Amino acid sequence: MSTTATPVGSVDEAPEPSRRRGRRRLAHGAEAASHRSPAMTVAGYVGMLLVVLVVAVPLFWIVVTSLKHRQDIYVQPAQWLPDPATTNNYHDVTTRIPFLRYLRNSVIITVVLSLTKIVLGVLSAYALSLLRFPGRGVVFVVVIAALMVPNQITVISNYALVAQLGWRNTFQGIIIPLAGVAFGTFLMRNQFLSLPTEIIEAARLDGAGPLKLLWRVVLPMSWPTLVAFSLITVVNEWNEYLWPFLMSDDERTAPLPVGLTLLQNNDGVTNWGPVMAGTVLAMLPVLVLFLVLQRQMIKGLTAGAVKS
Amino acid sequence: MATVYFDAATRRYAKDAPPAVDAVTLDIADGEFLVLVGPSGCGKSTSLRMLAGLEPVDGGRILVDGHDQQGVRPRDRDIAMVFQSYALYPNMTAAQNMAFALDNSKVPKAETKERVAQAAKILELEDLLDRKPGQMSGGQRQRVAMGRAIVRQPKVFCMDEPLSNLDAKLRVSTRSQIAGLQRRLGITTVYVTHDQVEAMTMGHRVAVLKDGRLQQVAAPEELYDRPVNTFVAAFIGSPAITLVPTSVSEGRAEVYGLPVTLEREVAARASGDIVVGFRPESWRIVPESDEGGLPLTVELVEALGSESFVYGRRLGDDAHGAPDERVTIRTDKRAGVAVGEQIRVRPVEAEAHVFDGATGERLGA
Amino acid sequence: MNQLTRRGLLGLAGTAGIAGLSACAGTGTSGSSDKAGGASNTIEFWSNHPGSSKPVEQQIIAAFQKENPGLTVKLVDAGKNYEEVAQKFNASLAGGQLPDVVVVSDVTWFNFALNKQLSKLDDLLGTAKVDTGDYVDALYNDYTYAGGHFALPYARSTPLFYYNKELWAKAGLEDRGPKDWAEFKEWSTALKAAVGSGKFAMELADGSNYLDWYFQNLAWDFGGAYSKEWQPTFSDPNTIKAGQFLQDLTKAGVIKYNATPEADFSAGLAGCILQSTGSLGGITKDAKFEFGTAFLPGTDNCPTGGAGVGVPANISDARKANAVKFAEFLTNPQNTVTFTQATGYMPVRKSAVELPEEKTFLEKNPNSKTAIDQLAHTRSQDNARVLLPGGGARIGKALDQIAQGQDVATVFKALDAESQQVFESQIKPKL
Ligand SMILES: Nc1ncnc2c1ncn2[C@@H]1O[C@H](COP(=O)(O)OP(=O)(O)OP(=O)(O)O)[C@@H](O)[C@H]1O
Ligand SMILES: [Mg+2]
Repeated sequence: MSTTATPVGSVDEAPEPSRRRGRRRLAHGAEAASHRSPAMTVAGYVGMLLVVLVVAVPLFWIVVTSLKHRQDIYVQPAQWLPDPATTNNYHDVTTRIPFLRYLRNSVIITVVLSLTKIVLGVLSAYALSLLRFPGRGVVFVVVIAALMVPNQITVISNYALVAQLGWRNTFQGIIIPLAGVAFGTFLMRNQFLSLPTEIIEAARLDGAGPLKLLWRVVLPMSWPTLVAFSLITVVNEWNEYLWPFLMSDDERTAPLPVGLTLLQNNDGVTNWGPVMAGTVLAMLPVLVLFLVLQRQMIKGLTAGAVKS
Repeated sequence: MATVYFDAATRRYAKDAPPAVDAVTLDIADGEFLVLVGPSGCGKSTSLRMLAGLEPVDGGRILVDGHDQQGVRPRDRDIAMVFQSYALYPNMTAAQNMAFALDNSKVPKAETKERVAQAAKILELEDLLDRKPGQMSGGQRQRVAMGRAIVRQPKVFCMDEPLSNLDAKLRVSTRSQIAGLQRRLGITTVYVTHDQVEAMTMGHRVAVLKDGRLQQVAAPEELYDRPVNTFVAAFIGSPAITLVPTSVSEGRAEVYGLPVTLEREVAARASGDIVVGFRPESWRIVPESDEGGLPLTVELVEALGSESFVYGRRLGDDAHGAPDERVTIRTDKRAGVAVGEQIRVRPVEAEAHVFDGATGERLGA
Repeated sequence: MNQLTRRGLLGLAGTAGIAGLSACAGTGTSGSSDKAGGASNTIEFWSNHPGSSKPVEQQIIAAFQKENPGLTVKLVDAGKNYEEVAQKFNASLAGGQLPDVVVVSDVTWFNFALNKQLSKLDDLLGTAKVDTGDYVDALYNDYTYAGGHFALPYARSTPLFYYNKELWAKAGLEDRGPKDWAEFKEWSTALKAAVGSGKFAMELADGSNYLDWYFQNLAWDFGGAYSKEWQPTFSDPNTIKAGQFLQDLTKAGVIKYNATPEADFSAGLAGCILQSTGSLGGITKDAKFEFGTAFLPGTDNCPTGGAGVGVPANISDARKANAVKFAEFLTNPQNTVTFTQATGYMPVRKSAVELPEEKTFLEKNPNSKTAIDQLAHTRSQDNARVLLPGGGARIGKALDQIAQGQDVATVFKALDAESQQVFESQIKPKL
């Protein structure tokens, strides 16, 4: 990185003051239109390139490694493209560990948990922001307090509870303790509170009951936040490790992140090919979901609702 | 269609703060168009929201059709509100916006469609029915907001400065549209505005609020001709009335040194300090030779085409005198005076408004 | 990815602390007689499958069940490394539903033993008539505390000296490991020249990846140690000498630190490494050149490591008996051979090397033989690393500082004080 970074700085500072000033006087009109010197543009592109590199290179490396033969993974100089390429690692992933069962577990856990979290988060946030009931403030404080409790503490007490219920190595044992929604409540509550109150009032006057108000008015305006929240939730649940690891004993309930660790040799040399292949496979569903949903996130949906 | 009765209705936002609406008593007849005016923060919106059920009533009552609205949910009050900010549902088209309330009250689909079409026709929204608010201009959104209220055929319309964000021309046309519509539908309407002209032209009656207290409620002409106190006198009318504090003795008062004879009835009640006011049209420009006329230096001339307003400052005043020491005079089309010129004016004694100096209450009829 | 630090997220001290906390919260089931739930004819075996050994473990379990038709063994994926197994075990200690047999590493077992969470095995082994004398003494005695044994050696390893034979030839060195660290220093100039730029004569795991394990060998070679019994001896002049030696070679550009030196070694980027015997299989597969293995430099100063299997204290006697039966089976001569041949760990039974299949195996794999031969020259690890809570991580951190050039004496002095303090507060009261 550092070798590419150095020229950036120098390009940025390159144009000497006199030239800059002259240009500004000449191109006054153009300046007003674009507000950018070529140096800034270059710096902008280099900055973007850097970000892409930082994000993409590791990703690229994972994909490439997943297609390499074992002996090609650690070589000097590094191989940028698999040569020859192989899909053995993918074959390995699906045969060395019960990949499909882990995948199924991941899907079950993620879908159930995400839906629960989203529904609970939205409903509780709605109640806490837009419905009036006694003790609302107290409930909110409790929810916020729940956010503050360190994960490790709840893990142990949850473990005790779940173990007593005999739920170890069951889906309900994994899912229910994770279904707490303080974060979603907090996020969605803030979103709901940021909506123009007049619209909510208008809907009330228009005879919308609480559920209709939520479904037809509040949620459509909160779509981008809801999608972002859902996406964060799905990604979180998909990658959830600690709790499923503690709860699950084998492939009957363990999700992918736990299952994939079986590919690593935990005292010795790991063959990274299958690990990377597993990572790629585990990444795909979330990636697809993200691509589908990201358009939704960007749309500004309250345009025209109220006077600016 | 309904009557609305504010019975000493009071709203306190905070326990120790002065009430935002203070024991307002107001009787609004069925089908009446009542305009609420007052300076910013005087409690207009709050009154409206209390009526709609969006704000609780902390004291007194509000009756609709003789029924106390205490505890009645907003959705059950059958009151439609047009918000200052439109408050359209951004995810719905104009048609859906208008149909929303009808859907909620389970009006048959066909009837809903019919009513929306009708409202769209009245408001000239037919071409916009499939657009979402984000794709409309301010005026169009405004009309959708009106449409949303109209289709409901509610008992009462509440409108909170619905025209405040429109440009002048659109405002004028929409103004008459709303007034006409209200007369046609005959729906009891409470209309909040800042705008003098709207206040004076749209409503059957105008209620003036100040600091949450009702000052006067009367027909526009009445309000203009017989303001009950100096506040109303100064608030209603544009340009404002010229108010001169002075004192009375033996039925006569001096206005800037000019002797003004008060009507007998007024004179009988006045004593000590009083305030005498003359509206711009109650001044006459007199020839320079009239030694009894009040000499003024012309500071500003507003020529509005059909009439002009001349703002003059008394001679001897320094330039830093407060603006209310200026005298405002309405003249015909061409004032025939220029800034800097010296003129003399005389008030029309019979058109004097006389108020008590201490309480500001109107004296006499 | 997951191997950035092999210690995992929660240090041992951390997990122990949490267990204590929740015990206060009174959520656990402990107190009732059969706290652990679990059927007495099912044996839950919590393992991280060291060395990717799940298939072998399943194979051994199948054999066990065949021999003991009344018993079922349930193999549980208990984590991706020893720390995670400890974490999961800790959770069950607080929350109930204990396993019957659990994998404990050289650094995790003691804390469980100290807190009476693992059973003292001696009586149980006696009842089961297990010939404990057949376990390799150095390995078996690693689990001694309060006059008893708290685990049976299972996946045991030692470090080995791996070297690149091609490089050795190029540097004109004899085809063997260095006799001691002094000799390595003599060799280092030639090695550095031969290895070329961008590569290093030696790579070591960094402080987050068990440098503290390997460095014990250096400390001992210089006559120092981490501790004598419970007395930390980092400030001992000889230990400091060892630290100084490491720093000098680092400054000279001979040694480089890395999370996975075995990977660089296999790629030909490092001339030699100190690595666990457990890496032998992987390096054999990955390296495209001929490499050799040798004893660690010095005499009789190779630390042992790896993991054993323990039995929780708070389960019924019936379960304990079954658990010991299985633990013994898992580590009997036949199975330790099966297990170690599949993984690269070392047989834990003396009689194992006499088995014909092991003999043939060692003939074919001379590098594996190095490890077994070295076993006779091992030395039990110092308490300051393996028995003090958080010891490994603490020493690793200090060694990182030394590698970065901080003053050796100062760092070790602080380490001394810190270790002493941990002992005073966490161990001494319980002894
Ligand atoms: N939600 C609120 N909480 C506390 N005070 C409020 C609240 N809403 C309004 N007020 C106060 O109540 C008073 C009346 O407010 P209101 O909105 O009714 O004024 P208004 O007459 O509509 O003014 P404007 O013409 O500026 O809209 C103001 O002093 C205002 O500060
Ligand atoms: Mg207002």
